[in-house]
Amino acid sequence: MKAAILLPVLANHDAVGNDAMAMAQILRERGIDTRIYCDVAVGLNDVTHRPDELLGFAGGPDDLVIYHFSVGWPTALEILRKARGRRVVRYHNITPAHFFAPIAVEYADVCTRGRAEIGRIVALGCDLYLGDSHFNLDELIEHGAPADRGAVFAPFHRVEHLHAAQADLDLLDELADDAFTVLMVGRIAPNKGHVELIEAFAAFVDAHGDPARLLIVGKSDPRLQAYVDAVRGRIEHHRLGDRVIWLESVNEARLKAAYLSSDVFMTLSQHEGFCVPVIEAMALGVPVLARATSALPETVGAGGLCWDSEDPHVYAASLARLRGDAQFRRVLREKAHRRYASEFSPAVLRARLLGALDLAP
Amino acid sequence: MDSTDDYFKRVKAEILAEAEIARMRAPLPRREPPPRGSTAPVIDVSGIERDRLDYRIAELTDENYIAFVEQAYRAILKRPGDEAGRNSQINHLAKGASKAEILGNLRWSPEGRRVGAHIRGLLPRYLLAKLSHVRGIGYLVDWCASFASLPVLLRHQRAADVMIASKIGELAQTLRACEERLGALEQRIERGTSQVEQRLRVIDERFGIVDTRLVGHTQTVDELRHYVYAGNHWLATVQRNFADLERIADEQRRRVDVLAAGVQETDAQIKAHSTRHARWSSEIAARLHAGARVLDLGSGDGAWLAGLAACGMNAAGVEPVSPLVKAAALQARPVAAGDPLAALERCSDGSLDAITLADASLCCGSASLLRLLDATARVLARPGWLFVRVEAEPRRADAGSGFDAERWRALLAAAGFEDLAVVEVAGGSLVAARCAGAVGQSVTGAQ
Repeated sequence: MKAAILLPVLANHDAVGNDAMAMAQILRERGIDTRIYCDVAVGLNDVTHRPDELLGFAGGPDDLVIYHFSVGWPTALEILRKARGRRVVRYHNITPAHFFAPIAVEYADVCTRGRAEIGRIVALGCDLYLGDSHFNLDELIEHGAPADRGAVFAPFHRVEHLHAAQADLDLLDELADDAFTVLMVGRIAPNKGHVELIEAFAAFVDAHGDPARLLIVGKSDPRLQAYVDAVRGRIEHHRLGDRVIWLESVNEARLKAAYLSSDVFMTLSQHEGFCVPVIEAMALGVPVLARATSALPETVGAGGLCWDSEDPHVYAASLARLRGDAQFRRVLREKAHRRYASEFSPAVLRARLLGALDLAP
Repeated sequence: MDSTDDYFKRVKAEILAEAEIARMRAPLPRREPPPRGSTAPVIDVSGIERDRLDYRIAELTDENYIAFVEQAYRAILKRPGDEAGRNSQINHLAKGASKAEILGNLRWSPEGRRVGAHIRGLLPRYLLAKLSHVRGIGYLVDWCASFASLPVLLRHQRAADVMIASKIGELAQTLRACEERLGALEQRIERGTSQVEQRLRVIDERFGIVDTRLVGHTQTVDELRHYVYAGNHWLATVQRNFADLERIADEQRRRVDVLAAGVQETDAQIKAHSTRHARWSSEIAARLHAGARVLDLGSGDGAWLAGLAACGMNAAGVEPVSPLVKAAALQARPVAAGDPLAALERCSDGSLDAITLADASLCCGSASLLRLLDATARVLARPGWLFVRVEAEPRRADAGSGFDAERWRALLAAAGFEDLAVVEVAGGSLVAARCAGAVGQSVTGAQ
């Protein structure tokens, strides 16, 4: 048997890329000849192959093809249609276009095209559909995928690397004061809820006092400049300019320093297929505060505090509670550690992948 | 703590309540912000001429590879290239696409159309490049274009030959320099390795010394541990012996009590007691007002208290011998069990009008006398009286103070008591003394 991992863009330190590379590694460790096929590879030393060569390698009846579906890509449909072996779709979710429509038309187009492909992928009748979350799998089932061919496990991640990495001392020094630090990690995009985050943080500063700081870690995209401007506009409106720190591009060391310096990880994202930063925070002992949308309640589970509310005062009061109640922080940390160990540790994910593929020893 | 679910529910309810309160509250004044780490994201837009839309194709094809693609993004899309897009165009270049095709891809993308940059001479070249991808015709078009550009290609080829030759020369020079540096580095590594080995040997030796010392110290620690164990054993033995002594003392006390309870007074003795006590009670009553508060120390079976009560005094007593206390209780006399001096010391300042004391109930020794005198001066109101009964008490094993009435009188006079008198009756004496000075003022000079 040979295995092929298929995806349009393979980027290092990207959630989908991490998942794809970890799967390839695990299959190779099981003695299966595995290759990664992609159009574009960014920042990698590994050898990748062109998608049009996939069928020549793993197109036979005994072979395995795993497609990482996170964006519209007709090439993959064509390849899956022709592959004669076991076909597996790993669905990472696609952000609905309405988030981008008022800001970047081309982004909205890409999302529309991607979501239009969900039905086509399901119509191919693949052998297995893997969701990062039940939220993702349910979307496939709504489009007609048979529930008995579905399985769910979290994406592979780099939390263990983050654990082992040395934190950036300069950033640790910079953030070492008595300010209460709230952290958000995620690219600057309209579905990520940065505006709501600013509103909640402003309510916290107004109602519960200083010193406090909001640390936003995430890349911005020039094509989403209008959204960045909107976020900055809210910061200026609330006169929070000196209390908000943006770290646009961070390496592992700076990311670790950001987690270690923070008192709370807060995300008010409106659409997530899984949200890896939540489990990074859980593993590094930062209490998690989140808005219960999309897959977030499922990812956070009992390991954090989730609210099905848009009210900024609720999040502000939650931050105040987390600042003042050491026992509550301790309880959240303990629960988060337990949840990470039982649901998201690499050994658990590996066993679930091999189990889903019927490759368990 | 509650079960976890209950705890979470409670905390969430408290948070919601706090949110409601905070909504109504006026904003707090803001303090000085924490040190600023970095400002809002600055997107690198340097080198982008936003107002310029007209270009010549040669301006955009001077650069090569990554620099060419980045320049094309900035000129045609008016922004830096994003990572995925830039890599995609570089892949095209690597697969043999012409620069004109890359420029055309960007210019006629949806984003490029919206920007609308004009690049002179690009359209025919782009069409030609696209035409070359058409099956059959493309091959012919490629052939024709290549044939037509043969003279240019030859000139480029010659120029490239010269450049390559010069680059090879530069590379050979660089290679030689690298080899020299490599040789030097190898020598340094060898020197470093030998130094490290030498240091390792020294460390090994020092480890040997430390090991030997560690063995010596371990022996010392073992000896110390042995001493600690021996000390523990000794302490445990001492504690056990003390417990035995206390047990024996308790047993002796119990036997004394039994013995005292067994002593029977004759009728003559009882009659003499009664006569004597009646006389003394009237002497005491003559010095005190009706209802005076009197504490008797060493009350026996309470017969003395009954006499005082009969003379109109409010009297209570303390007795250390348990069988006598029981006998008093049977006759409903107010006698409490306990050490008389300790009971006296627990009374508050100026709370008594008189104290009566059976000399025989007092333990021998100056310490007891001093405690008695100090407590008396503190507890008695003014005027307050101390009466000491000196008489034979066959039911007491205690020796008493060992003083006769005259010695008591002399002692109390020395301690500052006034109006001293001795009332002699057959079989005993009563020493009466009035306490002088202010309440709490020590008669023995104690602080």
